[in-house]
Amino acid sequence: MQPTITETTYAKPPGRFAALRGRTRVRLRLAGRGLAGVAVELFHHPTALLGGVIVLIYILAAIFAPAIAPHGIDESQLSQRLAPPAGFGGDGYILGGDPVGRDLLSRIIYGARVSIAIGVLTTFFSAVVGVLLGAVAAYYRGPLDAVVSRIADFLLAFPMLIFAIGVMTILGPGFWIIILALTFKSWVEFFRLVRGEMLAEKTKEYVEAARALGQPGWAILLRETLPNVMNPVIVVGTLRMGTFIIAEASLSFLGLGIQPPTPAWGSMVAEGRDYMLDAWWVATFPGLAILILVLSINLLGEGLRDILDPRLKAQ
Amino acid sequence: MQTTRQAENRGTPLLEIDDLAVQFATRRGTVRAVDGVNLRLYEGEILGIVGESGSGKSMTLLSILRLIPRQGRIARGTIRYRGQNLLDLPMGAMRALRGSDIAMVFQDPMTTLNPVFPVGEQIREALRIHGRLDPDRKRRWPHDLFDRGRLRAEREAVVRVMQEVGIPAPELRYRDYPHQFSGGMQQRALIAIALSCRPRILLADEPTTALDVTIQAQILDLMRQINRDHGTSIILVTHDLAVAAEFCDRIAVMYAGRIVESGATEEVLFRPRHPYTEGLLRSIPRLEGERAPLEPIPGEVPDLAALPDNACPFAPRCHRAIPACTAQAPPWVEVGSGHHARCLLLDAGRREGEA
Repeated sequence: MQPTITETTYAKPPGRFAALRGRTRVRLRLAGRGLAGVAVELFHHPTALLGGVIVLIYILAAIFAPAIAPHGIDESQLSQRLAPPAGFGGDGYILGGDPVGRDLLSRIIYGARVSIAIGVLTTFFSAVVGVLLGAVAAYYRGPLDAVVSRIADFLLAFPMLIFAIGVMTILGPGFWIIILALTFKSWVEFFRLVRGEMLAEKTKEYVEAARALGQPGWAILLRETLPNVMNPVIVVGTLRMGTFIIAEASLSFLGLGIQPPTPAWGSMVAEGRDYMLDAWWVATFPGLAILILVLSINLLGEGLRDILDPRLKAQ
Repeated sequence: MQTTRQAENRGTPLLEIDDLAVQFATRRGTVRAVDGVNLRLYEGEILGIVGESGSGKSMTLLSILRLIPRQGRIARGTIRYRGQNLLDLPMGAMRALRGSDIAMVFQDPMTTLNPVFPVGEQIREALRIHGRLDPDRKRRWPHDLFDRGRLRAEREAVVRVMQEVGIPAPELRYRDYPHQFSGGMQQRALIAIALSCRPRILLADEPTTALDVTIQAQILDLMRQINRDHGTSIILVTHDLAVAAEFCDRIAVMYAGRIVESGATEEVLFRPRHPYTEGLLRSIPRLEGERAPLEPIPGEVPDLAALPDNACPFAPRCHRAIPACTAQAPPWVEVGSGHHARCLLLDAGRREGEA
């Protein structure tokens, strides 16, 4: 296995995909630290740790909802209609009952599935589209960059919710339609971020060194420069996830998103709105669930920003 | 392949650059960064290119790999490597050559290593690009991802290269990131990357400028050792005459995109014939002998966008310039065995001597 010392002939190029062979897996290295290093630093950042722990609890609750939830999502007891929570005169459901006598707590636990799934998937798709387009546009410039940048400017002019409401009205409600509607607009943020970072990154000397080593352009783009711009993408992705969760809740609240009887926090708040004066808990607890999750995600995101992007911390 | 090639054993040159011109189109006009450069590099030889900033040294080097910045273009000339004009090669063949036959070491090791990958992995990558780790293997992916033995063997190959360039405890340093290396170690790592594929030619663009003096000496020693052990030819670009004097077999002095003097190191440094070379030598301090005041060359490097065609570019700064210097391009005059200089006065002097 020794690197062979041979008389090399350059007439024989190593093949189109030689540079790709062997290391196609996506490598996510976080600023010379590795994932474990970031986890360690997280423990020294109290607010980020708190946010991270709460987010983790939400995720576990969403995954193990059937095991945790005390009742089924459409199991209703007439006696528990608008029943107050335990401690406020209630004697059955911990967080009280909804207008048709279902357990609020169980529905909130199941509702985490929708919120987290939409938050994570929207972030993922937006990031993939935005990062790839941004990287390619910045690396190759030219007409592609011009066209995509203009589209991005155009999309930026719309407020996200207005845009999503428009799309939902046309395409109708649905889980994947929500993700599509949000992604269609929000890839722009990742695009602009990555494009800017890549423009700076590609002038660095290691890019030239990689060319001097005989790496083809696309390999340098994907494997040398892209890992260098992933830190801010992770930070922005985390912070945006909270926005996506609120957007989904807003759409569901308006009746354009997840449709009852599937439990979603937005539609649950909408159901409770009519009973605010008599049964405040119906709207309040799903609202709190949204509040705490989004707050925790933002705490975690800001903590990650402090850890991954020291430039921002200094400001 | 392991035999030492001596500079004296000159056959055909390994690399022949003829009439190379690199131009940049700017708003102010065409900048002639390199203008009619001729160079020969023989097997096992260390060639130094010296000159001020902006004299076209680095551009000459980058042209060899065809890596000049996008705004620039190679306007004319040929660069022959083992008989083949590199400027005619298709892009794929050129890429196959980069790193594998002709490798490059850059000035600033900190920015040349990719900050997000461990140093060992970057060396391993260099080996993989040209398929030097296991050329016979055909299908590599995705099977390798699970092939621990193969990974171990590759790591061992990398550790051997790290050992060769004098990185201590390479097994431990393999996983370190570039910022955990000192400047000298970073440059060693870069040399390891450049050497990993056993190139015939090593291009070094001021490899010691960013390092302190003791480390400079170590890096130069390392490069010399590589030159001796593997017969790798080296082109060293530097503005440090002391480094060039210490290290190079032959020296070419560049000024305003042209070579003004070239020859064996002792010839050029002890019997400089071009006024610019003389000026360069007078402008560095000496430790021995009487303390003469330093004599900087008056004036500044000329604007490369506004160079006259039929004149010596150095004439405005030259203390020996005569009116004819601004009226005709200076000839390339042989002033000794293998020692040439581009100066009108030398030509005139020789004719007078003959007459």
